[in-house]
Amino acid sequence: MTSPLLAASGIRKTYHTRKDRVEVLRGINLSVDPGEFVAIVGRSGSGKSTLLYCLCGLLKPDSGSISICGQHVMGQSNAQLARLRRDHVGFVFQDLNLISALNVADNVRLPAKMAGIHASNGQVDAILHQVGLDGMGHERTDNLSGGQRQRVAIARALLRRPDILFADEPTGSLDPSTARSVMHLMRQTVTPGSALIMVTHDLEIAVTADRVVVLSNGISNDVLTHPTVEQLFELTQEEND
Amino acid sequence: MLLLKLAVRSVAIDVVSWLALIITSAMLAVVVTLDIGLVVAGAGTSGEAQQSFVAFGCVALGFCVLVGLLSLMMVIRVCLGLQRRSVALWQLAGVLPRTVFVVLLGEVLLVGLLSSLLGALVAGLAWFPFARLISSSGLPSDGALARPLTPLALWIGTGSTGVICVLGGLLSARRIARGDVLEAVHGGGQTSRSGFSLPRRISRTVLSAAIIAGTAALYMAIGHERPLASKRAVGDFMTVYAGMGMLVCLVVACCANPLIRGLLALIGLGSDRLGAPWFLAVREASSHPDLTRGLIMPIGLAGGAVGVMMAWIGKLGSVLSGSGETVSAPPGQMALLFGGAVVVGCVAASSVVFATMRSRERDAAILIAGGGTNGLVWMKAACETVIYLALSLVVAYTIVWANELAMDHALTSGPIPSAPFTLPGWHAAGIVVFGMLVVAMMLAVTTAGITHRQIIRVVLNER
Repeated sequence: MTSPLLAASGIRKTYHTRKDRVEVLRGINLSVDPGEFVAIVGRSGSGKSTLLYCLCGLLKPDSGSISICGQHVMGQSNAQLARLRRDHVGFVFQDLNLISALNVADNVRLPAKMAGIHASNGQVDAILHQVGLDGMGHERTDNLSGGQRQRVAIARALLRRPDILFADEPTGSLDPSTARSVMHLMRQTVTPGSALIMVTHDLEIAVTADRVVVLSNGISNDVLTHPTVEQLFELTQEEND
Repeated sequence: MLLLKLAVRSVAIDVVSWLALIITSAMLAVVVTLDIGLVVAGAGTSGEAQQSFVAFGCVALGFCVLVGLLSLMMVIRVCLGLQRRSVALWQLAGVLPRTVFVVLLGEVLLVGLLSSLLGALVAGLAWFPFARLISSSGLPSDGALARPLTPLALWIGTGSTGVICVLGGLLSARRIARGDVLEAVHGGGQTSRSGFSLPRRISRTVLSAAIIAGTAALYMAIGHERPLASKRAVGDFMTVYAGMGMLVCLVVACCANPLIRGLLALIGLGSDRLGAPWFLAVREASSHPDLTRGLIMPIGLAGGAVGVMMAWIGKLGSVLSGSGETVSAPPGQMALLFGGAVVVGCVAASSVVFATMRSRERDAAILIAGGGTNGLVWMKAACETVIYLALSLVVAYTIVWANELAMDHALTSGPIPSAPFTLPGWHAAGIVVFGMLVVAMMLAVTTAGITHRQIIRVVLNER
């Protein structure tokens, strides 16, 4: 039996506002094995993104335990967490992806640069070819379409072959056709040794995952294996009701 | 009425983006009002005090207006550049470019006048400490300095700063109003990347060429003067050294774009192979040339102007040596002459850092989310400071050396054949380093504000 790439148990997170306290996550358990694609769905405000940011070590939960590639996240300093993310994790966000000061190629080689590794032009070109952005290395990111930007973000995440790729609504702002091609690329990132964890509103995309976690009021009541769109639709409808 | 409402609301909603202009024009108003106050006080006296106050006030005012106008133009360009996306959205809603131009100019005038009024108020409070500086500088003391700042000086100070703002705003507002709407909407619109239109590029090149040619012609005219006989005539003639230096400041300001782009390209050579902080800092400086220029030119120009004046004093001393006359530069009088321009330059440069705070915060969030540490963000800020320092030094010493070389050639082949070549001193470097310390402080404040919690807020808000 292989050890999970990500193991989380009893994750709790509460946000305090001036008047109120909102318990966003209420004891979430999740384990992701190598080669898995896990989708997280739920209605707006159900805590999907908070869970994702907790799992990747960007946000510290109030209690519970998380380990990424066997390393415990809780109790680590911000600098240690940054190194953990740098060495094991890749990100694709909906909008917050690219640094405008850098061109496409520089954005792609940035994680390697931060790790002190020199990524050659050949490596960058190869990865850009893989995501269908041949010859666009010198383009400014501001000149790209939404789909192209997401491809750059995926290329950046792929360059260092992260153990776990976290994606937060990566297709949220894309048209259906571009969303499909971006998803195809994302799916290809999952190798026998790596995993993909994605937050999405799109049930058509969610059903392509190996497992789907349905979040409701901070609790993952349902974890489904290869569900249908109808099943997910019913569950999310129940939530809304 | 609707336009005024739009201008007021637009400024009120995005006041952080206008912070650079508010701080700079308020500071310019303080300095200009104090200098005008000195001139007005001088006009009310007689004899030596009148001569000294008017002369010092006018020269200091001239420096301030030169550095202030050029700095303010760059700051306004940065501030209006930050409004580019909102403006494009207005245009998509049907607002005409001409209306956009009027609204933008109205915004600049509104912010400029309000901050000028604030500046005039501060100037009123700062007048007595300023008068004490004048008295201790070695200039003749006079009862006129004991009286409060006159309303005339306050009004002229406020009005002239407002006029400088409008002059500075004219070109930038026109540029934003005529910019590519779609590019601005999609690009997020911090600064324009497309540059100037072809006719504008041509007219700008022609104007720059005319200023360069005019300056060169003046140097040649000096070189064709007949040798001067008396030391007094030599002393009087040497004032052209400072005047030509100011013209060189203008020439360098006109050539700022290609100069800075070329220097950045040089600095960028091989940056791929250096560490991430340097790599990011070089890319940050070269990808936003408008911001880089807005940051380094005020300090470079202030440093260059001071360097030229100190070189003038040095050269005058060398030329008059042996004649029994001495030339000295008491620190108090130098502070009086250049202090204002230096303060305006430094404030303009550092306020540009504030204007870019949001994009810095966003970039830091991406870096840290992607595995960068706070140390990387700090190192990047330090590398940026080094780059800006190097660029400002090059700008300042380009002005000082160009003027010294050209004047040396002109003087020795014309009116003063015995004029020695004077090596420029460290004064310009001192001013640039001082200015960069202020900028570094602003960068540090901005970087220190990027906490882990702030990053999470940015990441969550951007979704």
